[in-house]
Amino acid sequence: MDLVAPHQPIDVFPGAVLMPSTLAEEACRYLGMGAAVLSAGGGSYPYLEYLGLRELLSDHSPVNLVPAETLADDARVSLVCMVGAPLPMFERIVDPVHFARPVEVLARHLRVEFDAIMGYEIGSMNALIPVMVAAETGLPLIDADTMGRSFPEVQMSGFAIAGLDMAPIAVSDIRGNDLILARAESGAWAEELLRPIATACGSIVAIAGAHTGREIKEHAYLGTYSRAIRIGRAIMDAQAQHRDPMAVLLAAEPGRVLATGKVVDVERRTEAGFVRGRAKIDLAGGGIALIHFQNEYSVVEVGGQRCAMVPDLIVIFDSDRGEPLGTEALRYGQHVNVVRLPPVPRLVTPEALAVVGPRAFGFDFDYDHSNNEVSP
Amino acid sequence: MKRIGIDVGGTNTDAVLVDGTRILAAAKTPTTEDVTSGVREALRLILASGGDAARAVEAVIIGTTHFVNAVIERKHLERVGVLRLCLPASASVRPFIDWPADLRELVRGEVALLPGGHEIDGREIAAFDEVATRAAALRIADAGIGSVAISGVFSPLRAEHEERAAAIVRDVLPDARITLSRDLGRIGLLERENVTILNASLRVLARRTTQAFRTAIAESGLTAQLYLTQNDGTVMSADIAEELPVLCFASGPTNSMRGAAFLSGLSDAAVVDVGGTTSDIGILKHGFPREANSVVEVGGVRTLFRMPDVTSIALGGGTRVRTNPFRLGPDSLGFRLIERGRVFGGPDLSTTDVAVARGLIALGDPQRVADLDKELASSVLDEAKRLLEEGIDRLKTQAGDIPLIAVGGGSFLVPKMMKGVSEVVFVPHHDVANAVGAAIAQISGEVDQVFSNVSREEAIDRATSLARTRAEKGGAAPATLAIVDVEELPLSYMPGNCRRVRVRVAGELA
Repeated sequence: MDLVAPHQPIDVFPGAVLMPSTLAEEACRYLGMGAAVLSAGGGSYPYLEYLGLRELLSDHSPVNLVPAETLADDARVSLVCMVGAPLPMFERIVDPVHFARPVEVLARHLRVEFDAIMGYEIGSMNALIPVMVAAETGLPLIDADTMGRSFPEVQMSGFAIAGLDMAPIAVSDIRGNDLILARAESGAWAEELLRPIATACGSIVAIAGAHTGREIKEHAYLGTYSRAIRIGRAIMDAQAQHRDPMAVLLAAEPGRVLATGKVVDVERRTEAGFVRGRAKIDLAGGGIALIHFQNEYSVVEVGGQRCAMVPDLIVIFDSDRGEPLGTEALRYGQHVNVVRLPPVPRLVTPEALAVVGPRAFGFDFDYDHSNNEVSP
Repeated sequence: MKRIGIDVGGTNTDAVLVDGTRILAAAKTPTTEDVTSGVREALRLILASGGDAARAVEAVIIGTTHFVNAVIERKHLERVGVLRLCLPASASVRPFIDWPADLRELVRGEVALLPGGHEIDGREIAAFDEVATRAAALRIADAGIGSVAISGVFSPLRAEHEERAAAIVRDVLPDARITLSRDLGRIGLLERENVTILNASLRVLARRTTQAFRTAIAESGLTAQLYLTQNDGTVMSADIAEELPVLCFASGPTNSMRGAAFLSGLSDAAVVDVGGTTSDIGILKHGFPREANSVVEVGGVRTLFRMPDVTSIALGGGTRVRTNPFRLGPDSLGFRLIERGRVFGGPDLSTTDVAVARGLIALGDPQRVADLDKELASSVLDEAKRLLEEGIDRLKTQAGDIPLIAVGGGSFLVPKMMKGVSEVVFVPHHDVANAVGAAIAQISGEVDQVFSNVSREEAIDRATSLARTRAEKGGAAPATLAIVDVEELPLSYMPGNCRRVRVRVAGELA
C-alpha cells in the first residue's frame, strides 16, 4: 500500500492519532469494550469474538492500525462484517478463516490485490471481525468505519447515504458456498438481497465489499477504532483500579451524564423484526427520565426535555461496574447512568440526518444540534 | 409420605423429619470434611428424636455443596476427554479456552473437534463423521481417560449428533462415563460445553458420594430411597445425580428459599437467608426460586444453566462493626464469633452484639454490651436495613411492594418494616429452612427450545408436553404435575416467526 502524507485531517475526532499503531491482545480487549459502548445499546461485550481474536493473535503478528488519512486515493480496501442474527453466533462461534474468505473471493472477482481491511460497523462483534480478517490476511486495518456506531440496516451506512455503490459484495457461508452480489440498486436493496441469503446459510454469513482510499477518506467515519479503544481503556482501567468508570471516561472523552437513577419500568414490543420500547428511570435527584429504543437507544427525555437523540451516541451504563447495558439487558431495579457521547460530525449533516435522524426512526421532530455545542 | 431432608452447608449439616406438611423433628450438627460423617450424625440425631415415625421414612433428600466445592477447591476432579461436533464452524474458540490455568491443567484431556452439529433451523452444519469420531474416541481410550464430555452446535435443538457420538464412545470404551451437553442445555455453546466438562470431571466423585450416602442410610437402619436436591428447587434420584452432579451446584440457597416458601405458605415473595457472613436474597415465583438468565461463574469457569438468581450481600450475624469512623463489615468474624464476639467475652464488636444490646436476641452475656452507644447501635441497624432494602430492590422485576420471608440464624437483623416490602414474615424452624426445603422438594422437567413456523400457543404446548415427559421420566407422579414457569422470547432478525420457549413443570415424587 502507498502511504502518503495526510493531505488534510478531515473530520478527525479530537485526540485521534494520525500515526499507525499496532493492535495486540490488550488493545483488542479494550476495543471489545469500546465497541459495546459504540453499539449504543445494540449489543453487549463481544466476548466470544474477543476470545477468538485473542487466540488468533497468539500465533499471528499484531495487526497494524492505520489512519485512513494516510491512504492513497487509489488504494484498494476491502470492508467486512457479519450479516445475520446475533443468536446463532452463540453456537456457531466466529471463525477468522470464514470471515476472511469473501475478501479472497472478491479479490479474485475484481482481479485486484487489496491493500487494507476496514470494518463497516464499529459496534459490538462487527468491530472485532475486521481485526480478525486483518490478522488472517496479514493486511493493515484502517482506523475508520462506515457507521460510526451501530445502526440496524445497511442503508444507514455513510457510504449508502453518500450514494456510493455498495456492490460488488462477496458473501461466504461457513461451508464452501460463495456468492457475488454484482450490482445493487441501492443500500436498501443490498439489505433486502443479503437477508435471505444469510437465512439460507444458517443466519450467519461473512461479507466483503471493495472501496477506494478516496471513497473512504471522503465518506467513512475516521478514527473510530482509536476512539473505541480509548473509550474501552478508560472504562476497563477504571474498573481494574476500582475508580468510577464514568468519571474516568468523561474526563478523557467529550460527553456528559444525562441522568443517574434506577430503572423502574421497561416496555418492549417487536415490530417489523425490530425490538422497540421505552425504559423509565427514577432520577436520583427526583424526577423521571425516559429512554426510547429501537434495537439501539434513540431518544432521551429528562423531565420532559429531550436532551439526546439519534444519531447521538446514547449509552446506558450500570452504575456499579460501569458496564454498558444493551437494550435486551435492561431490567427493573438496575442503577444506571445515561450518557450522551457526541456523534461523529459527518452523521449530523442534512444528508445523513435524513437517513439516521429522529424522523428516520419514526419520531416527529428534527435533530437538535444545540446539544453538540461545547458547554463552557 | 414421611421424609428426611438434610442440607449440608459450609458450617452445619441440618436435618428435619417431615410428615406431609408437619415438621416432626429437627437437628443440627457440624459439617465434616468428608461430608458423609456429618450426614450419618444428622441421621442418628433425627432417628433418636423422631422415634417410631422416623423408622417409616420413605425418602431421604440431601442437598450438598460438595460438588461445587470440589470445583472451587480443585479437589477430587477427574481428567476429561472432549468431543465437540461443530466443524466446519466454531473451530477458532476451542474447549477450555477461557478456563483458569490450574483447573485446565487438572481437567483437560484429549480434545477433538469433529464434523457435525446443527443450524438454528435444524439442518445439519455437516454430516456426522463416524470414522473421525471413532478415531477420536480411540485416542481418548489410549490416553487412559474414562470420562467424556460431548458437545454439539445447537444440540438443545437437535441432539442426534451428540447421541451418535456417545454410541461410538460407548462402543470403544464400554465403561466410559459420558456427559452430553444437551442434558444441561441452554443456548450458548461455550458455556454449555463448560458445564458439560465440569460435570464429566465430577462423575467419579458423584458416584462415590452417593454411594457413601446410601451406605449411611442403610447403616442407620432405614430402607428409604435417596434423592439429591438440584439448583431449581426440585429433586432428582441419586442415580440421575450421579450422572449430572452439576445440577446440585446451587442447592444451598435454593433449599432455603423453598423451605421459606413452605414454612410461610407464601409462593410469591422475596426471601432473605441471613447467615454468619452473608445474606442470600432471592425471589420466589410460584413457590420456586426465580432463575438467573445470565452467565454464572463457577470456580472461574463461565457457565450457563439452571441456577437460581441469588444476590449475596456482606451482612450476617458475625459482620464486624467498627467505630471511628463507623463502618459495617464487609468482613465477618465467621465461626470465630463465639470466641471473638463481645457478648461471648471476646474483644470484637459484631452485629450480633448490637442485636443483643438492643434486645433483639438473647445470646451470651448481655451485661458485656450494656454500655453500647445507642447511636452506634442505631447506625448499625439502619445500615443493615439499607443493605437489605437495596439487595431486595435489585432483584425485583417490577415496581410495588412484595412480602419478604426472613430465615437463617442471623434473621434477627431483618427489621419488621422495610422500604419496598409489604410485610416481613418470620417463620418457625427458620434456622433449618434449608433442610425443610430439601425435605419437601418436588420432581421437575424443563425444556428450552427454539420453535419456528408454529403459533405461540402451539410452541408452548409442545414445550410443556416435552417438559412433562421429562418430569415423569425423573419420577414425578403425572397427576400432580403443574407448570412452574413459562418464558417466551421472540427472536429478532430470524425468519419463520421464531420464538424461544422455556417451560418448567414440577410435581410430587411418585
